[in-house]
Amino acid sequence: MSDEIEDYLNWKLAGRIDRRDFLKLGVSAAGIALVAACGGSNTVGPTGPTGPEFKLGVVLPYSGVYAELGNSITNGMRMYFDSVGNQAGNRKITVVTADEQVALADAVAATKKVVEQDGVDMVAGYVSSPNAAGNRNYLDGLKMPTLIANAGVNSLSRAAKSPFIYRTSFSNWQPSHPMGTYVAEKLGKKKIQLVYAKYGAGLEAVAAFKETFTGSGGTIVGPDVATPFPNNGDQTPFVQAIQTDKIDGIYCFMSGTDAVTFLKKAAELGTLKKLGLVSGAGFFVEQDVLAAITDAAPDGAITGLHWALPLANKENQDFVSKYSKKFSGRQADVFAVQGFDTARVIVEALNAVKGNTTNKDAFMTAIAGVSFKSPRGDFKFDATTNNVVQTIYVRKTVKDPKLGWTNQVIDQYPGVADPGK
Amino acid sequence: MDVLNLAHGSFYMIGAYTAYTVVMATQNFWLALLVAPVLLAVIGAALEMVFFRRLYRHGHLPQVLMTFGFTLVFVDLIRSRFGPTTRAIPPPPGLGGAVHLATATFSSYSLFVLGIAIVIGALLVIGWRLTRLGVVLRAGVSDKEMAGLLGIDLPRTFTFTFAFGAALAGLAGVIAAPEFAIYPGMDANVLILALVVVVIGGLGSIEGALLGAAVIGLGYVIGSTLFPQFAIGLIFALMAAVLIIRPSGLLGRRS
Repeated sequence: MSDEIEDYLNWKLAGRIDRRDFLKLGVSAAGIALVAACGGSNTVGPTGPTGPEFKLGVVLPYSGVYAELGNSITNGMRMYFDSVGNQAGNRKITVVTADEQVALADAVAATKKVVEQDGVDMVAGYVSSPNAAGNRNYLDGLKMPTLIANAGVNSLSRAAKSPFIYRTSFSNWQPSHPMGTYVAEKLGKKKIQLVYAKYGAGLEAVAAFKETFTGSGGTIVGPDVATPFPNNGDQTPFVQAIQTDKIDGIYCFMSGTDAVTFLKKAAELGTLKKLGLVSGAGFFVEQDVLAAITDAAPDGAITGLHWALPLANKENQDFVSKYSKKFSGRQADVFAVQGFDTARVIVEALNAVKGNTTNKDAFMTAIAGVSFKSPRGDFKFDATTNNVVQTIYVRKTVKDPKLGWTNQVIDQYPGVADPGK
Repeated sequence: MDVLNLAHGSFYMIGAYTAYTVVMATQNFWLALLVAPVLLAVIGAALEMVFFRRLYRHGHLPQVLMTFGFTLVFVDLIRSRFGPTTRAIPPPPGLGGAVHLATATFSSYSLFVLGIAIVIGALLVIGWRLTRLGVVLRAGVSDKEMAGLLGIDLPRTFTFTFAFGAALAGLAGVIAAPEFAIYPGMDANVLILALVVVVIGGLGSIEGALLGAAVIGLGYVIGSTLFPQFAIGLIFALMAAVLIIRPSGLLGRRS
């Protein structure tokens, strides 16, 4: 509990109050936060009996707007590590967590803490792209084996890729790129307006969609609807900027709270019903959003993502039911899958090098060579981009009699790899 | 009262979570509209009598520290009870649709919020200007000692006022719940906007707060539509401009 308070205080100072401070509160409280920042981490999982310890530093947000994602990814990791007895390659795996929070300064501090203070052998995590990109040079310089478990910024698979940093989640390009083709060709919708939260992920996602959509004969109807990120205000003007009478549908990138408030407002104003097609990157209607908005959900929305709750493969069915059992009824989500796969990559690579991680190049080669059947389908790394190669599923938002609102898989694009060189 | 209460955002958040709890349990939004203000009035009165009362004499900084401390306690209590997940409740039956006026479309719930705000704003101004309680409060704010000498029971008046303020914040949280999302951190977002509104309007002026709210509300929506990345910046630019021209706010008393 006290850790959470410290973390929250840090977040408040870094993300909110510092920037908007007019009560001169920042200075006095920053002193408290500095003292408090020395805590804020703890170890997860039971200790195993064998071998020298392998320390994994997990840098994920446990406070602030992305706390839910951090918790899900950590749960996924814990579930896989527990399933192999928290050991691999004759080494006991110990997880040291640190709070990524929201702002880059905190994520840098968290990374340095696990690396310099805890002396970890490897780092995994990063939910937000600026935080992953902002720690890139530090980790690369140290030749620290690193797995990115969420942050999707394209450049980490392109200009800023590192031989020591692999990504198990997605690049922003991946879920949206096949959707352009799908919307224009398979659905025959040729006039689309873009709607997105105006920040890195939103811009990269709609750019990837636009590329294939216009390439398949589609037309983007302007002007784009770009919302602040995050949008704590009224969504009405943005919903009303959708030109329902001139378009066949929208392609949208929003997630979490923004998606919740936007979809609710669009349902209230009757905009969703007037649209021939609601499409987007899958985060727009992922389980967290659907659970919040329930019957304001956009029935029949077509979205692209690397996972879906009802995915029929055996690994996923197994994962979803065990996850729910292990975490007292919590529904699995795409972030938990990413955590689960991240842990599996670590375990399989450790087994491949028989626990010897002193030769970092050999360890990275082992990581690059890991491939397996994940809950999301076939998982492997791309040797060119160090990014995961995966199936992108085309999903339709439906109300399932058993699962409630969810996304049914209706088509798929296997082996989607980021085009980085 | 001259109290700077940063926990006011927390009261708003607790109001929203109360709405969520009540609506999930009973499906009745109107019940939440009654329950939350009562609950918050009790919380507010208790906090005032046990904690804040001791700070009136010590000026604003100790008040800021203690009430900021309470925001941390409240947000962690909320997070430990409800988790970090974003939640939402639907608008009450009958207000879930849209209304077409001339060429514009409004959500009926937004219009309902507008109506409630006008009613509450009008009641506040009338109460402040024309009722006995309003006179007592104004007297208490402008000269505590003199008001006390005239036989006004200031501690009781302040407790009542604080509880009433907390109840209003709780009511605002309930009203905001179907309009926005409910999540830990919603307190900080609204608190900052509210403080800007009060500073622009002028401390201690209800009409000023109304005017400030109109300026900030329009500024934020227009700003976020035209320059999505600069919406917050625009608000602070507005505040800076107002403070340069009128250091005590639009309708604040010149000191």
